[in-house]
Amino acid sequence: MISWFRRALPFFFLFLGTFFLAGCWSRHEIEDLAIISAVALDAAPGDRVRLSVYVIIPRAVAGGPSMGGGGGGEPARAGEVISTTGSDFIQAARRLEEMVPRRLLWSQNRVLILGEELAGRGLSYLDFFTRGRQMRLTTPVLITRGEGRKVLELPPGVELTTGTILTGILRNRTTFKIELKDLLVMWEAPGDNPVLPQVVMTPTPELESKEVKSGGDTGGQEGSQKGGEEKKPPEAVAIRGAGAFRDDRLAGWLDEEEAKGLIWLRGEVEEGVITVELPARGGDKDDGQASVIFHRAGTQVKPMIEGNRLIFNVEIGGKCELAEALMNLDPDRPEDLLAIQEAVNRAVEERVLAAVRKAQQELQADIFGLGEVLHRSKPRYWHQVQEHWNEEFSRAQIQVKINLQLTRLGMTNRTSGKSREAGGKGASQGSTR
Amino acid sequence: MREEGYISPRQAAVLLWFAVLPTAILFLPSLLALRAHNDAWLAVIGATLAAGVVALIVYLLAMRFPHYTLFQYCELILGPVAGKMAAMVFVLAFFLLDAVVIREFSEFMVTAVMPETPGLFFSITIVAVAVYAARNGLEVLARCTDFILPLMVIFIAIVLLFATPEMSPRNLLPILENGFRPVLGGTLVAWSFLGQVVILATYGAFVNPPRALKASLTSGLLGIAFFLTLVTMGTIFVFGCCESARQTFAAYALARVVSLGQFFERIEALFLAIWVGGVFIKITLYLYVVALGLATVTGLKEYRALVTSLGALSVAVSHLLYQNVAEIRHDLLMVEPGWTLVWQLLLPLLLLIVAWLRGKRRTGI
Repeated sequence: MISWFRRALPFFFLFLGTFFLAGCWSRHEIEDLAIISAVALDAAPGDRVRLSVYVIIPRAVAGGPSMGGGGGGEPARAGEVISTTGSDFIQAARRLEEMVPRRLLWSQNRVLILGEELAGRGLSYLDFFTRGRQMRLTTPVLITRGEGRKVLELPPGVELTTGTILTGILRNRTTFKIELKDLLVMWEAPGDNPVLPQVVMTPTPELESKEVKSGGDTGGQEGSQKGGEEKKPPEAVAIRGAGAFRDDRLAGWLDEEEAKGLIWLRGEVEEGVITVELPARGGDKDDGQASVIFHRAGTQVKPMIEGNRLIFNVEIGGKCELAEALMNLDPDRPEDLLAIQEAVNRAVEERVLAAVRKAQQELQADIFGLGEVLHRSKPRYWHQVQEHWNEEFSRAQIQVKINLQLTRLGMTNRTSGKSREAGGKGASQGSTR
Repeated sequence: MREEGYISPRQAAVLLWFAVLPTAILFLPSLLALRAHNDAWLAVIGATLAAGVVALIVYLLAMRFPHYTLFQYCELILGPVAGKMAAMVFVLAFFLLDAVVIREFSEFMVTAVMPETPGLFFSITIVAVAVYAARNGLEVLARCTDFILPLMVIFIAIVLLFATPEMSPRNLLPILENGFRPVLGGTLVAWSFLGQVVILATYGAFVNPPRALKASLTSGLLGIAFFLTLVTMGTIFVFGCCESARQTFAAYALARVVSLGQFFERIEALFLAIWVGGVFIKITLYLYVVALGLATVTGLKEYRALVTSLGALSVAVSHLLYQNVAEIRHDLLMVEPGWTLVWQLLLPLLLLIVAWLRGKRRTGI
C-alpha cells in the first residue's frame, strides 16, 4: 500500500504542475491590451483632474508607414487620444477603462506631459505615477503652457506617435531631460526646486532670437529635426524653454535663453551650439558671425561665505569646435580665434546671468540646486539657512566665470572665397609662406 | 542528532552569503536610507563590525565544540533542561525568521510583479520546493548554490554597472551630516539582517575541517558586507536618500532604471528570476536548520520527517504575521533590531561565557 502510494506521488505532483506551468494565470494577450504611449495630466474645473492618454491603435501601427503611405494623403493617425476626468488620476484611469475595450498598459508610456494649471496645483498628483507597478521612474516629464491634452492631439510627423516624437527630440540633447525620478529628487531635496523642459506648439518654429541652431557638419542632426518640423502642417511640437517650480508649485516660465543658462548652471549641458556675432574690428575685418559646437562642458560651483554674504563661484569650462563661420576668418592669426572665443564666453555668461536674474528676482526659487551644493560642502552653514533657503538664495551673490576654449576648427581652416588679404597681408607676413 | 556528510569551508561561506543577502538586498537599502540618510552605507559597515562580534562568538563556540551543532552544545553547556530551553529559543527564532522571509518574498511578488495572484500561492510553491530541497540535506543545498551564486553575483554586477550613467556620486555628501546618531539607528536596522550570520553555528558543524570555519565566517561576512554596501550606495547614487527611502523595494527600482542605449532595458524580470533563486536558498537553509534543531531538541534520529510539516506551518505563520508590507517595514525598523540583538548576540554570548566559566569543551572526536 505504502509503496504504491510512494510510486504514485511523483506522478500526482507532475500532474499538478501542469496547471501552473501552462502560464495561463492572469495572462494578458497583446490583442487585449491598449498600449498607452503618452500621457497628459491637466486640471479640470472644480478641483478635478483630467487624464488624457494616447492609446496606440494596433492596426495603424501594424500597417506601418510603408503600407499607410499608399494613399499619399495625410498619414493615418497611429493612435487615439482619450481623456476623462476624475477627482484623482486613478479614478480617471478607471473611467478610461470604461471607455476602452481593452486593458490599459501603462508600462510602455513614453512621456508625461504636465498641463500648466495642474502644475500650479502642485506635484502631489504624480503619486499615481510612482506608486503603480506598471509605471516607470525613467519616464521623461515635460510641461506645457495651457493644456497638455493639446500636445497629444497634434497630427503625427516623422514618427507615428507624439510620445515617440517627444522622446526623439529629447534624445537630440538640444535641451535638458528630466525623468520622473529626477523630478522627484529635485522636489524632495531641500536645496533644490524642480524645473521641467517645456514643450511648445509652434506653427512656424522660426525664431527671431540671435541663436539659430545652425546645421554645420556636426550639428546636422538638429538641423534636419528642425527642418522636418517646419514642413509639418499645421502645427508641430518643439521642446524649448522651461517651467520652473517653487517647491511643488509652478512659479514661472523660462524662455529659451534662460533655459539654456539654467542647464549651464545645473551642469547638465551635454552638447550644443552657440552662435555669436562679431563686430567689425577695423581694417579688412568686417562684422560677421561664427558658431561653435561643444560636446562636453563642466560646471563647478563653489559656495563661499564672506561675512554675512553667501557667494557662489560658478566656473564653467570646456572645449568647443568651430562649426560655421560667416566672417572673414584666418586662423593663422590667433586674434581671430581669440575674438570668437571671447564672444562665446560672453554669450554663455549672458545666458547664465539671465537665468540667475530670473530665478532670483522673479521666481525667488533656487532652480539650480545651489542649495544642495551648499548642503554638500558646508553642512553647518546649510543648517542655518535651510528653513528659508529660497529667500536666502535670492539674496546670494552668484559670480560666473566662463572658460570655454576653442580648440578645434573642423576640417578646413580659412573661410572660402576669393580672399582679399591673401596677396597683401599674407605676403607681408612672409614667414608663413 | 547528526547528519551524514560534510560541506567544504567555501560552500559554508557561500551558504552564509545566501543566508543573509537575498532579502537584505531588497529591503535594507530603503530602510537604511530612511534611518541613516546619506550615510546608509556607513550603517552597513557598522553592522558588519557588530556581526563580526557574532562571528567571533560562533567561531569560539565551534572551537570548543567542533562537529557539534548549536542545538547540541546548548545542552552540553547549560545542562539538559536549560539547554533544551535555550535550543528551543533558537529553533523558534529561526522558524520565525523563515516565516518572515517567506512573507517578504510573497509580499514583494504580489506588489511588484503579479498583483492578481494570491500571495499564498507564492509562499506555497516556494516552500514546496524548499521542503524537497531541505529533505535532501545540506550537501545538496550547498551544491545548489554553485549554480545560483554566479548568476546572482553577475546580475548584481550588471545592474550596478549599467546603472552608472544614472548615478551621481555627489549624493553621498555630506558625510556624517547629523553626526553618528542616524548612522547608529541605521546600524541597528542593518544589524538585524547581518546578525543572521549566527546561523553558521548550526550548519557549521558539518564543515570539515572545523578550524576552517574562521575562513568561511570572514569571507562570508565580507562578501555580504561588500554586496550590501555596493547596492546601498548604488541606490543612494541613483535616487538620493529621500527617494531611496520612499522606494519600498529600492534595489528592484534600481534594476528598473537600467537602460542602455534603448535596447538593454527592462531587465527587472531577469533580476526577479535570479533573486527568487537566492530567496529559495535562504528559505531552504532556514527550514533545514529549524528541522535539524527541532529534531535535536526532541531527540529524534532524523530531521527529515519534520521538514514537510514545518514547511506547512511556516507558510501559515508567515501569513498570520503581517497585514501588509507596511507592517513588515515597521517590524524590520522597530521590532527586529531588539529581538535579533537578544537571540543573535546576547544568547550566544551567554553560551560562550557559561561554557568558559564551566570549562566545557568537547574536542578530539
